[in-house]
Amino acid sequence: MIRIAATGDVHFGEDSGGTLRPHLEHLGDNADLFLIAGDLTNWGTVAEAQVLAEELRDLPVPVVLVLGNHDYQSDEPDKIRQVLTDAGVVVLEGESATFDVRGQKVGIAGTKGFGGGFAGACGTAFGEPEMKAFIDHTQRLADRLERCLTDLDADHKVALMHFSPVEQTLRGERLEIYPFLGSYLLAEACDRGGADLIVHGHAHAGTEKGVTAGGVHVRNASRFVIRHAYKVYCLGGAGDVACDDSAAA
Amino acid sequence: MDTDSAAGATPTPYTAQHIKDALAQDPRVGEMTFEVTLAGGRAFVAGQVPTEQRRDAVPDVVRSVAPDLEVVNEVTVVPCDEPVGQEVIR
Repeated sequence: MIRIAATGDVHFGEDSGGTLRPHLEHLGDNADLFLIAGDLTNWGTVAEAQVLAEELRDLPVPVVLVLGNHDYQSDEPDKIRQVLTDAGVVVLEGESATFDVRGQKVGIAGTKGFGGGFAGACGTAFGEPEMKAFIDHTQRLADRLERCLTDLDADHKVALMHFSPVEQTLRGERLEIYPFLGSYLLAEACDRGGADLIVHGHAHAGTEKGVTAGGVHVRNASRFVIRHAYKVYCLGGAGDVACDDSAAA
Repeated sequence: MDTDSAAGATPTPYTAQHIKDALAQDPRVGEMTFEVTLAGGRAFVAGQVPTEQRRDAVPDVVRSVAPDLEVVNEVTVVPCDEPVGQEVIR
């Protein structure tokens, strides 16, 4: 089995040093990969990213991240990405990475994603340029995600994003803000691209588990939802590493 | 953020949202998901943040836009322990 550790919305600030790393002590025993689903920083600054980079440096498993909306607040997402990349972690936006785990290939396709809402109650690229830009941004990111997933040559495909692809994992949030929390376009991309698992964050008051219309499992791994340093999701059939699914309930 | 003179002695129907906006836009807190309710001259703020420093900054940020309201800070720090068990995706 492939063991995917995931969290999101860590919202690192300059006051966050030492708040995560001590809780990753057994990460290498529990997981093969560690994913963080955006909102890496609180105010989108390089200084905050540097604090997180030190917490993630030299972990025993590969670390894969996407940015979230908070990481754009100070208009320096490229610098944040560079700081984290320099610390040895993989940051994805419309890109993918593949890892060999005990002879199996695990592909991660990542994007921030964006909002727009869900089928039957969503925005359309019509009217003012601002409305077109809003929906077009989501559509572009979803299209790139689908291409990445489709092109992945892997035994297991995971889609990592910040915004939610489905409504189920938003339950607990106010219905009025669903269009700002995610888009069905992301789910459609994952269904077409053949993902086995989708991990997202962003919905602090949401719920953990959902599924796309095409049957892909969705997990909202927001730190505010899972209320742990990370959760571990196991993919694949019986293998050389067993999973304890006591957390499955 | 406008100086919310209306949020002083007599809160307006918009004061709770002005407080929410301030909590989102002030880098000492920077959190958009709080529930803010006003009653009896008090502002009740509930939600979760990752650090004690951000929780403790909430009253000052509220008072910056609503100086005459008493702040009831019900914000908590989200736990971050290592997980127990795993989930098999079937």
